[in-house]
Amino acid sequence: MSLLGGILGGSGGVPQSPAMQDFLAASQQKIQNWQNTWFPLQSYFAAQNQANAPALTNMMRGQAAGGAEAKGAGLLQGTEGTLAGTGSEPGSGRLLSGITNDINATATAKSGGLTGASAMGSRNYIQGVLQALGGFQSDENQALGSLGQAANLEQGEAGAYEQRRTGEEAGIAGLLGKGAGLLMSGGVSGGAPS
Amino acid sequence: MGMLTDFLIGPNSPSYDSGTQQLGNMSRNQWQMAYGAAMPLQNQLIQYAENPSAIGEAMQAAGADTNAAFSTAATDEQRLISQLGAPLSPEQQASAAKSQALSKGLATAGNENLAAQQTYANQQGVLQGAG
Repeated sequence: MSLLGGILGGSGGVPQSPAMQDFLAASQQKIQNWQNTWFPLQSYFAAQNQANAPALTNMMRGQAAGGAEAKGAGLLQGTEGTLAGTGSEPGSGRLLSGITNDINATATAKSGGLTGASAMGSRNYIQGVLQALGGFQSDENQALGSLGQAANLEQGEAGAYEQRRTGEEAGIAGLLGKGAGLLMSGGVSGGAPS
Repeated sequence: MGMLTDFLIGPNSPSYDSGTQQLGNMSRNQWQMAYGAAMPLQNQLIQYAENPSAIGEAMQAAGADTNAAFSTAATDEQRLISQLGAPLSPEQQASAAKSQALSKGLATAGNENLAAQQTYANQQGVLQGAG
């Protein structure tokens, strides 16, 4: 602490109002809460999204293939039943054509389902990443807002410091001027007043 | 007055309140943590969106899926026909093979187109989502 600061009781900082203290405490609490709770949670979900993506895509592919095969099996049963009912022989062209059509339709549906499921898996993964990214970007924006507030506070404190410093310098200059005046008038040396 | 006032009232720089400094430090830390977590994800999406071979790879995968599905179909067809107990004549075999080849060609073209379109849409989706 400076000599005058010590004499005048200055701290070098700016006294905080109760409202300012509350604001700082709330801001710190909010950031600590984010660091301790929300950030780990967000990070966890982002990592889970990445880790689960291949398995989820495989699951969707399995469902698509299974669904197509089940429908194909039903189709085949229907064809065989219908043609048998109309008296088609096992080796007949109609039956063979029906079976071939059903099997080809099943393969077409199955491969289309697999292709669609793969693309859907990629899309779901991208959506998950974008969602996680949105959360982190919101955190960045919040942090930048807090940094702006801290910068504003610092600027206010710097302004208050300059005001205080200017005032103290003026006071010192006044004291020095008075001292010099006294010296020149002989008031300090103890000379006899005229 | 510089040196004298520095001696009397302290150096020429303000000392900030610890609360403000703490808020600034924590905010910087928060920003760095969020930025550090977001950057790898952003890079991953940008790499995917800008990958010129992504569409080709998806088309190849669709072609492979189609091949596998029709390969299984051919086996199923053979098994089913043998279960019916009526072997196919050479003409019938040729007809079945031709029918399957046509279906496979159509499915391959359709699936590769589908894969290309959807991968392109996914890449565009990244750009739109990030924008």
